[in-house]
Amino acid sequence: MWRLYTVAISILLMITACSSTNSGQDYVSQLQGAVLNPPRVLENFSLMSTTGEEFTLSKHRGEVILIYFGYRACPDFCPTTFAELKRVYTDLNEPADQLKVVFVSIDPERDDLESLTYYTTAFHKDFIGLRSDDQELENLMNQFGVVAEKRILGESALAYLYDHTATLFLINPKGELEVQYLYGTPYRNIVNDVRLILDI
Amino acid sequence: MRKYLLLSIILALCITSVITSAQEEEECNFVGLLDAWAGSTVEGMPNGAVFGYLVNLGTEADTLLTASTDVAEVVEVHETTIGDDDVMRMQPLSDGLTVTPHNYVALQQGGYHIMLINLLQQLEDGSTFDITLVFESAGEVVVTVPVHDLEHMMNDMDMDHEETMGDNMSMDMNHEDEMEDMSLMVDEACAGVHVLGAWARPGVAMPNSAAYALLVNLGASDVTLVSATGSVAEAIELHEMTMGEGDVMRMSPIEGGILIPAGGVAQLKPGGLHIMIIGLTQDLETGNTISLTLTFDDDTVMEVEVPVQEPLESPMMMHD
Repeated sequence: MWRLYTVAISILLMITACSSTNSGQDYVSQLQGAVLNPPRVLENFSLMSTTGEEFTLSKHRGEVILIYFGYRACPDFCPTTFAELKRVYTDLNEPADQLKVVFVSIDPERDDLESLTYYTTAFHKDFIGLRSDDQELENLMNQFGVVAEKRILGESALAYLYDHTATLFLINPKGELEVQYLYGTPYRNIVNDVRLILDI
Repeated sequence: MRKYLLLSIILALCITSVITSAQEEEECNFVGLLDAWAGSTVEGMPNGAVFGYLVNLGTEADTLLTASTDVAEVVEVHETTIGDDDVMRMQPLSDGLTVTPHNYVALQQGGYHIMLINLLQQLEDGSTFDITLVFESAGEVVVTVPVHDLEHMMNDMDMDHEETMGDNMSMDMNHEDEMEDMSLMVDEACAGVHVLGAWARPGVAMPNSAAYALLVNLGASDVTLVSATGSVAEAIELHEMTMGEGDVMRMSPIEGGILIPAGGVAQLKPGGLHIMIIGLTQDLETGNTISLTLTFDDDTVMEVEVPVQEPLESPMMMHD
């Protein structure tokens, strides 16, 4: 009888020890970004991506997604954010199966899929670009509260520019928006949070 | 009698030469872009940006109107701003960018930049290209711009002072090219160290304050600011800010002083290098001017009049 109990308890302990992600809310107080508590449930979205296939949120349960909105023409904020994300990704040892870094173009007019692919993969081959020129993009931006205002320029070689939200968003393994990082957040804060949530 | 005549002549000559050299100093009209650099670009990036410090050593304001380069179709001067709503805005400055006398404007990520529109070639880390800046008064100024990876240049607090200095060192190699160009434009009047855009924080009913400026070295050798003194406080020291473990901001005196590379700059600004004013012996109110004496390791001693004012803009978070 004792042996049966021991085996049962051992199996129970192993199951508890082996649960991979932090299912409890105990890590929330240690997150360094701006935390949404409770996390915001997101509607499923699906946009064409630079991997050649559509990127669908529901297919990425169990992963953390760092998602950012911008456009290729901006030479300052956008590439700087990419450089930061590259540091985050390499600091975490490039966990391709657990972390996805996603860039959504808010300028589908100028950012065709081919150019977008060159752009995102040049920062890191695992980075993913999303593009849509229909309602899907607007729905996605609304879900995250991302604004993008087009400004026609009179006296510039750039026909137009976008004023846009520069925030970086973190989607947790349950597909919920849990953390936001304002532009300029030290990359170490992001590394810290992804580590906590993925337990890596 | 002759002895006195000789002495008088010598004295007169000395006075004349002092007056003349003082006048020469005032006649330096150097306007240009120092510590220039451009971010590297990748395929798929149609535009690039040039950063650095626009400096005006002259007595009249000057405006950077436009520029041209072989590496891009069009060049414009732009400003990026980010609001409290975290919305990023970029704006072309169709009237150009003005630099007031004895002052500077920093072109930095998240702020002003010279935008290279429709690149004709990729900008690769480690390469250089020339850009011709056009100023309203100074006319055309050619600057050689080295290209650096954005990660390499990210001014994040993780980089300790040694690393930052190392970057300045490696940029010296490109400075040799710059110096060649600059020697065409830098007259003797401009050689040596200059202090631009100095200002000090107000300090009323508080023990300490700080002073900032852009230290410019147009000489042929590196120079170090060794000390700062003044009667406005009990002690004045040279300090730096670094980010330590656990996101802790640390301030500490800099051993050895502040290095200003030949042909380059050292920027003292909130959140970074600064002149720490410890134990104020008087209130510093906006509108006051304090006097600081700066001593450099080439034996230059400079008295600088520093206006007290509120910071013009909040420092760009941690990333400047």
